[in-house]
Amino acid sequence: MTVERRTTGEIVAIAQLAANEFRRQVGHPVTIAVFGLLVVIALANGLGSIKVLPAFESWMSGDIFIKVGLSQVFFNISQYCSVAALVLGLLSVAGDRRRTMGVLLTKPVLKRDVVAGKFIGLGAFMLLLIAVTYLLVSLLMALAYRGPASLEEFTLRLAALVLALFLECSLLAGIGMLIGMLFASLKEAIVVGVTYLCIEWFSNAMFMDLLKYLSPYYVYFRIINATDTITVFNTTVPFADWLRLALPYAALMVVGLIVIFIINCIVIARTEEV
Amino acid sequence: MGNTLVVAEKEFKDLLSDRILLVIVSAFLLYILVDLNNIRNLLDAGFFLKDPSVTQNNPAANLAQTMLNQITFMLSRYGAILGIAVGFLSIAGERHGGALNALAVKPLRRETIIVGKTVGALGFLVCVFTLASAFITSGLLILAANTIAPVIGEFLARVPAAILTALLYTAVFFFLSMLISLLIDNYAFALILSLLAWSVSGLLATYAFAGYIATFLGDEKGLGSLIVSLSPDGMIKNISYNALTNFNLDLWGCLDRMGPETFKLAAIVIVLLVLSFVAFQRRDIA
Repeated sequence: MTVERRTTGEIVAIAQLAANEFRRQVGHPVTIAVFGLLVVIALANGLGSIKVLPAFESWMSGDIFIKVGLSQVFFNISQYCSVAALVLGLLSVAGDRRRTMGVLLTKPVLKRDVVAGKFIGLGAFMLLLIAVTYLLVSLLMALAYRGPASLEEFTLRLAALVLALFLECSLLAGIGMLIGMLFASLKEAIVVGVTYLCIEWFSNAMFMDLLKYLSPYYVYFRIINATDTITVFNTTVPFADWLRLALPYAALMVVGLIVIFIINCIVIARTEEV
Repeated sequence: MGNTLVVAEKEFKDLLSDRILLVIVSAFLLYILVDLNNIRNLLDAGFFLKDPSVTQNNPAANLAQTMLNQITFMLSRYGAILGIAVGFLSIAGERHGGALNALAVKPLRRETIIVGKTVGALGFLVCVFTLASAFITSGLLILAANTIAPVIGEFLARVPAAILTALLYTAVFFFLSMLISLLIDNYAFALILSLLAWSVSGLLATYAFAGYIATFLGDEKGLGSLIVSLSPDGMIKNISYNALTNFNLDLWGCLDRMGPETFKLAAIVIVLLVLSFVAFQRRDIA
């Protein structure tokens, strides 16, 4: 009975912490800046779709709406959401160091619950940001060009895109939190975080041999493009075929999430001074 | 002048002893090393003999073209990150730590401080650039000197132009980061904003953005090229593809074609430099 009550108490505490973290991210300047950019990208894509997408219809097979329309914005959306995830993760810990984090850890909550709450809150926020962005892109394209050929196919593939990016962003948020906890000053943490992200996205450093499986960027792109021809955007290939090839990479990403969460719990547990 | 040099020397030493910056510089060199390894793999696979994207039926020129591209883009891409970090640490980092405030109350003119800091930070960037350029150029020569032997004179003559282009590009983001750090009090946000500004520059140079807007407005080629040429990323792309790597042009022809885009990059650097100086003079930096 006591164990049950303690567990319920923990769940309530985590839920409250997550809700608090979620609210904090909504009005964060980084969120506003990134969302502003995503809206600009969606608008440019929507406007361009009026003339660009019909040109593909005469020679390209499959649903142009997904194959060209969504794939054109996919890289930029992924890039900006990844930046937001890592930075918000980093600031949620490092930015808190001298203020709320110290107060938070004097409350009767376990340190791991603080990590879990922040992790869940950030993840939920990133899921909302990604879903809203892709829906906005789709809506503008539907208004400017036409709707997808099959609503069912579109829903499945859009959900897959959103979930894949959500996994990558959650992992990056966790890495951001870890960097935030490892470095004593916010200045150091943020410079290291930004450098890590740039190396992840712009260099081949992460693509060497087994090291590539540690790169959220690499694994994420393998989920989306399982092979050269079997990609989530290619509607001429059945969704199930893509899913079968993408699932192992998605599973790897989930394992990465669990590992980074455990590491974060260990690091925060060993942190004497916050 | 004496005080400016003292501030510059201090800035240089501070940056040199900053352990985070040393991590970034190490990452820069690692990044180059890994890319050199990729080029070696491509060479082993005979990629440059059959690459359909290259424009010339001359393996030596093809490879020299790729190497010049690598020098420009590797140095500029990572140089931009370094420039942003140095600009941020010089201003925002010291603002946050109170060091800048302490310096501002000393019997020094504000222009002495900003000129000194800029000279010191630029000196640091030039040193890292020299090291990275020597690293990448010698690495590429070790890997491929035999193949590019027929055009090695032409290649080496263009290397300084490639390095200068990358340095100008880096200076754009160094001064932009400096300016943003001076204007925005929240220093973490200042760094993120600098990073986003850099990525927007890249975005403007992509077809998915510039091409789409231009197509919508009914002039894909003319307007698209104009949008691309407005961003620093578009400028270095134009320099690299239209001039530096075009071995059909002689050296003077290449420099002549580089001129307008290089001038635009330099103009952006000067505008950002002036704005940073004005912001430093007029803003309360405490």
